[in-house]
Amino acid sequence: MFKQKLINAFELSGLTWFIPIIKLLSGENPKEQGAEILRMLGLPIIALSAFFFTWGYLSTKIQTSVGKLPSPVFVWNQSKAMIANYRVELYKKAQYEKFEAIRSSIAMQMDKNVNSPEIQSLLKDIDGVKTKFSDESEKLNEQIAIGKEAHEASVSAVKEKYNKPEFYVTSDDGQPLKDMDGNPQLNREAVDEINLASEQKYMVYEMGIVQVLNDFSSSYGSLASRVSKVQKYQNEIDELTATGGDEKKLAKAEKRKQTFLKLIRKETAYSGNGSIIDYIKLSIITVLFGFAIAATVAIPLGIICGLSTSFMTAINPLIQVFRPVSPLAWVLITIQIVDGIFVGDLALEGDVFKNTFLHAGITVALCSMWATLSNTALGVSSIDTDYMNVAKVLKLNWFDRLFKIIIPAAIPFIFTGLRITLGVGWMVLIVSEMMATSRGLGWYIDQQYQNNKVESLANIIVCIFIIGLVGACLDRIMYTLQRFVSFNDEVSA
Amino acid sequence: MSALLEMKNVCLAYGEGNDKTEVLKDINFTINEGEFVAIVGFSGTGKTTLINLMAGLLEPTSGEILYKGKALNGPSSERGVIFQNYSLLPWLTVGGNVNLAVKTIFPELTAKERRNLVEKYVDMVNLLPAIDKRPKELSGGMRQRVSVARALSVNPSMLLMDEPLSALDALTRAVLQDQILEIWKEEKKTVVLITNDVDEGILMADRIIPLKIGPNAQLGPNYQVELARPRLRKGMNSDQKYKTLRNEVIHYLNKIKEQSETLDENKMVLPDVMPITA
Repeated sequence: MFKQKLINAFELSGLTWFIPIIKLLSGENPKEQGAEILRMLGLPIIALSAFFFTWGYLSTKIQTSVGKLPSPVFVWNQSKAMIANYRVELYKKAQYEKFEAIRSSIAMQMDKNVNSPEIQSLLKDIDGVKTKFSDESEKLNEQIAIGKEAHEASVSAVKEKYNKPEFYVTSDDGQPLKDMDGNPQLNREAVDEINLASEQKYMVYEMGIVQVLNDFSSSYGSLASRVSKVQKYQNEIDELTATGGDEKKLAKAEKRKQTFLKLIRKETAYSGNGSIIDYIKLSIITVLFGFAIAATVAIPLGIICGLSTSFMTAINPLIQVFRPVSPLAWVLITIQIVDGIFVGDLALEGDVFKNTFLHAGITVALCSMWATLSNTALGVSSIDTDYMNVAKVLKLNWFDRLFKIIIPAAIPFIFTGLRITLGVGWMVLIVSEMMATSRGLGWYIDQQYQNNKVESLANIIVCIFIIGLVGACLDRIMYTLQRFVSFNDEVSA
Repeated sequence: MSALLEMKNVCLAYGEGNDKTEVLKDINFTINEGEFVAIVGFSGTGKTTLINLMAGLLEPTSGEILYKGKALNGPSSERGVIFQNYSLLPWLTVGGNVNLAVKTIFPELTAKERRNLVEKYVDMVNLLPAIDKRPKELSGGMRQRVSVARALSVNPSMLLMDEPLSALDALTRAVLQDQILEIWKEEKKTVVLITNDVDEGILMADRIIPLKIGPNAQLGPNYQVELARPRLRKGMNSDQKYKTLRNEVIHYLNKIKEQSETLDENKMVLPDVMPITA
């Protein structure tokens, strides 16, 4: 039955709070299920509201080195601004692709005939796009103006509120001090509040789009002017050859034409600023890369450790010494080793696979593999004697014993280890990215920290929530896998 | 009839020197082909150790074990073992568990032949509808039947059963007893059944041997069960022969129990203290 299957799926993944909702929707004893929903959803909501309330209260009290601690509302607006930036980035990418398509088709046509009717029609298209762009940005600018007015009004309201004698800084004799413009000097609290209000983001998406429209409008403009330059020099050349003109002049015109043709043919580089979604993506890819390395090294090693006590005794000191080493220490040596290997022509350059990615990924692997290693060893060495007796009675060969009995029996342990590994890896990743300047969440946090503004502090707080959410999701996935592979239901949540 | 398995002065001890504990001492035992022997005893007397010796999972400290006249050398598919706690591999299905046995003993079979063989043995214990289920989803009785099917599937000449039914409820137990007897009769196996239930022994076996209480456990006298087969549970209770034999065995067991309690030198002496009540 579909309902039972759904319930089983939620139970397997540990998302048990959906179960009463499904039961309620299917019409199962509304009173009981309602109470269950209230308990499973209501209590966390109460705890969350208490948390946000406390945060809101503390934000009015706590003074950071860059100003007041951002309030939940400020941080929420900041996260919306981040999403807006991401949408602008997507728009920019789409515009870039369109522009490149037009540029390359112009370049192709130009190689055949610089004055072809196709080129004329492409130029007309460009004109059309430019008009469209200017219309759009005009509309957006109107919206922005309204938003700006509202923002300035709220800022001046705050300024008004704090422009009172109790917020003035006074000299020793009780006289209010004046700033350079002759206005009374405000105390720190007032300055912080005014800064907070003026740093509040507004119309982020609209402004971003206008910027993109302007940029591409000028790109299209210079493309069109290059095309007309080429055509102009081509006409000159045609004229000179028809009249049998000066060789020197001919060569000069040809050279100029070629210069502009080259510019048209050249692919323009995409200059993205990167957005929060890109950082999240890169961070997840990096942690999975590190996790994959950790698993491929730790599982076989753990199996060998579990099978051979001698091997375990031999490498145990190494495990004990390396396990507690901080990611900060690992990342520095990793950076030097990786940069030593991938140097010069070998240096990795790519959207994902660059040196900095390797730095962070390998550090994750180095710090997180130990849990899988020791759990696998434990699982293999503590195999039930009953299973081994079965193997002996059936006279299984070494290979079958390993792959049919020992490894399957150790699978639940291995997955427990992998779950811990992924959790540790995600924690280590943020630090490694800061040090390795791999452009993930850790790097972004570090950038924001260097900015030294209340706004950046709010961005960091947004990132903390993102890191927590992604970490929790990864853990949920591993938990589900762990439940899925375990043949007895003893898995700790 | 020829002796299939013989144990001559077999001793088994764990540990060395002062820590040495002799679990079994001077075990002499012979079982003939086609015979059904039950070994009864209290728990913790070394019954499992005895069956592990017969299976070849353990080696005797001294003495020798002969199988078909030759010294026993490790476990073999000729002696199928049914373990007390089923020992099914929980990550394999019913069919998978049986298949693992079939595959190792008959590697020359094709996948289809193997499948047929697996189905045949799973059907023999009436579990064909559950062939794709995992042990987790089965009841205790069903699990033990899978274990029986697995042991039979390698076509052993001898079946060693270590308290196979002791964890089951009385009704399931009776059903499985009948099933095992039927298989024994049809497949002509030699069976050693370890049990703590005298009734079960009398109902199923040709011969009952009590195991004395360890350490230094020895086998007691043989009791031949001269009851006609099929033995029906219903008529048993009024059968005079049955009653006499049952009383004899139980009397013997009680006697050795008393002896062991008086002989027990290591018995813990409780300190002579009284709670303070004042």
